[in-house]
Amino acid sequence: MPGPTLLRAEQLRRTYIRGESEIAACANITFSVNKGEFVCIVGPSGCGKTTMLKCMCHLLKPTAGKVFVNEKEIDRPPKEMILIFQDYSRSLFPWRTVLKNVLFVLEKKRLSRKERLDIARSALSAVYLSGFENHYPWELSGGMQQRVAIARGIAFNPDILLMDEPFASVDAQTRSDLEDAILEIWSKFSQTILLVTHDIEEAIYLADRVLVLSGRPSEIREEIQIDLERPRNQLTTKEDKRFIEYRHHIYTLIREEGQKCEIAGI
Amino acid sequence: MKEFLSTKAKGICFLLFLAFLWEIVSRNKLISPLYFPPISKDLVAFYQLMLDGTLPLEVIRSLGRIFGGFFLAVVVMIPLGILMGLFKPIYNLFEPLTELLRPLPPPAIIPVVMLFLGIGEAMKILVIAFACSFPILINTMDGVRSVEPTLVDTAKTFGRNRYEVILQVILPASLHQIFTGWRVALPIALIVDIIAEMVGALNGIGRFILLMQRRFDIPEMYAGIFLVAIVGYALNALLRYLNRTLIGWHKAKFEAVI
Repeated sequence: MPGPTLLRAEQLRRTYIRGESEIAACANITFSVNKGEFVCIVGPSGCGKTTMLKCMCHLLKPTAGKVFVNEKEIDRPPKEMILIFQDYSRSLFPWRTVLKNVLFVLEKKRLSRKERLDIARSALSAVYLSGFENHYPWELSGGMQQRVAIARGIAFNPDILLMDEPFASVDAQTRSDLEDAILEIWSKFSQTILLVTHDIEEAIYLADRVLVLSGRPSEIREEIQIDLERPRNQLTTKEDKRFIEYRHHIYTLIREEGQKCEIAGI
Repeated sequence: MKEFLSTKAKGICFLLFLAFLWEIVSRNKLISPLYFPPISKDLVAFYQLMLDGTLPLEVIRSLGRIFGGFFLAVVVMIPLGILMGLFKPIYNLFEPLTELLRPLPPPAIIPVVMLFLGIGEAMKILVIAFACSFPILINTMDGVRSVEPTLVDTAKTFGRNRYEVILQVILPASLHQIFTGWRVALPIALIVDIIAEMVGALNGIGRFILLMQRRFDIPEMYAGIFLVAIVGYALNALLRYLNRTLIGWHKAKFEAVI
């Protein structure tokens, strides 16, 4: 049962100037995410997904439009919402150990030293990284590094986790492991997650609701409620007749959008 | 220790061989022993001057100037480098000035500084600071600029303000590059100190070397040069130590990636 609206984007638009022309990365994005919901956004590659996410949490100032968190308009990176970046190897601090990378997000919270350590350790064990506390991020494999980034996100305990193609740069096996790990965390901590991906199957597999973006300048093309039982399973869920229908439908939509882009010469 | 011996042994043997050659050449008057006394004599002079406190005193004075000038440059140029790396208007303000002053060989400004400050400590510290400034400034600036933007975004998304981003992300992320600036600057500080002392000073190892040459105390002159070499070696060892302790992660990461 979806809770109240937690995150709402209203007519979000971001343009940038290239030479003399103004190019819109995203235009007129409007959608909302309810408390406890897992929402995935899919779109053709290069449609401004990362730009949109950065605008959502005000790492980039939107050219126009508003973002509301708990019905409050935001004008700086809100503490209720954090973004996990696509490129884990660039978002982890290489001079800090795994544990200290997680502690980084707790340093501004009013907690005792012991509480901080407890939270950081349990976040790391939630992503199966116990025992790697004193390693440096660059000593770990790609999948493990991304898990550190996720652990950092859950240790911070935000109301909403934004994730920018978090599994894009890991191998297929690690990817499905991470998908299941994130689902587990989502249900265990009653998180609200907004995840952006270019992978249609991943979006359907994870989400309660999938938003399909159009090509540049991107808008929400269609919203699809995913009615598949939880907990989901990498084999049975993906073999479900409804899963295949969703995939077929979304694939067709994205293909159309991709072709439009090609015709427009973008 | 065993490893140390096996890697250094050859080099040390070669050094001993050169010292031996020096002794032979000088003793057989292949080069005038007046200008090129046997190394044994130079070492004896070195030993005596160390023992009677002459050289240690001179070297302490020189080191005081070197570190004084170096730290002055660090204190001024690291904040400036960070500001220039972060803010375009500040960069635009200082860039023409630094580009103009940078190619200037530091000894060239000694006469000017001497006009204002005489031949006291202030003159030498200022000239050394000037010489150290540019490598420190430019490396700090480059380091700050090459900080991965995602790290900055990460800190922002986790609630850090601008000031905290500088201290907790930009500074540690650019520390290895800042350190490169130090590694370039410190040997320059030694060079410029020796020159400044030769041009105008009442004491210091540079003046000592020049004075001994003028008094024709040639073994003593060589003794002074030996000490400068030792100081240079020690400064480098200090930098290597700092490198290991401050940014050991950087070297380890570099090696892990390769």
